Amino acid sequence: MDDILNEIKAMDLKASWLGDWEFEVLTPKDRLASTLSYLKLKGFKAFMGLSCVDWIEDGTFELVYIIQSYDLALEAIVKTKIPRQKPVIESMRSLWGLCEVYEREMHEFFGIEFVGNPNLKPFFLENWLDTPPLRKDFDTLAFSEELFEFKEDETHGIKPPKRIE
Amino acid sequence: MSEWNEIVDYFRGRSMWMLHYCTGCGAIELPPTMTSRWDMERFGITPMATPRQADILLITGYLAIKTLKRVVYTYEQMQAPKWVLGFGSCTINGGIYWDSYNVIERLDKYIPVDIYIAGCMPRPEAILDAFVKLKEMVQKGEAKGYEKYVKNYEWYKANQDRVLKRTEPVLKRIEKVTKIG
Repeated sequence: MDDILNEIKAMDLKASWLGDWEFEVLTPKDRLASTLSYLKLKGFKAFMGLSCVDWIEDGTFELVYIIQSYDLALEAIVKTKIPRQKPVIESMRSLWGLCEVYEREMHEFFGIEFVGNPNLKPFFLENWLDTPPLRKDFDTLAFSEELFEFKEDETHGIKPPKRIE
Repeated sequence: MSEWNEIVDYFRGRSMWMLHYCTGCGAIELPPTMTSRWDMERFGITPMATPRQADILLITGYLAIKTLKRVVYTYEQMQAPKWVLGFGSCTINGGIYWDSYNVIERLDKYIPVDIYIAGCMPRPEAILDAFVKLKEMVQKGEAKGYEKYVKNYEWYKANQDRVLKRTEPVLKRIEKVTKIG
């Protein structure tokens, strides 16, 4: 099992075990496609998901690709960082068709542009015009107060709950 | 004519068909309410499959903007007399989603609610209590939410459009206001 990890390390990428059946690979943005296709050739054929972390203090978005190998019974978590100001990355839909849907979701909730994905139209949100809502600098409380107008109601005596910081 | 209405209201309260709009986690309280343990059919209330044949719209839990649109469609399809039960704290003030970007607060801004059931989650006893209360209100002719909706249609429609038909970013609206102020 350590063979794969050693091979990845030999490619000058950071890789480490997270548990008995799971390891992570940190890759720069321009080597993401080659890393993922290498892992796919090694047996990680199942694409489980794509998610994103907003590291607002570092000014980066971290994209997290989760792929699994049924033959090796292993999970690989491939992480890459892209700048927050201009979040553009190439689409992985040529490797896994399912990526198209996940990329559409990340485009909607974080505003990341996936070059090569023709299907980045609105997905879950209806008529969304503000900044993407899962970015850390999006003020959900101000948005909620403005749009849904939560004010103390004299007839019901409902008070807004206190926000937990 | 008023005596006739009293008789009609009495019988309306004795046979009510419920459409449950299960958006949130509240749906899980309904199977025990409907089935043998609590058995709401004792009170003459049974689930109905379509909005056009239903009298009660039971909204269980939070409503996202997307589901609010469907609830309004559903409510407007129902034939009067019709009553709305808001189930759980999410319909009252947004519940734990009170500061969410996508979940409405105060359901009665968008459609008239006859009875709110407080709690997160309300127990089946609370649902039955609300049904009994609604039955009493209907028989006395007090539950007139659907008339309120017709009378104040413009107000309800404006509130619905404010959420559903946005034409400019919401947070920019605040910036504009603060700049002028």
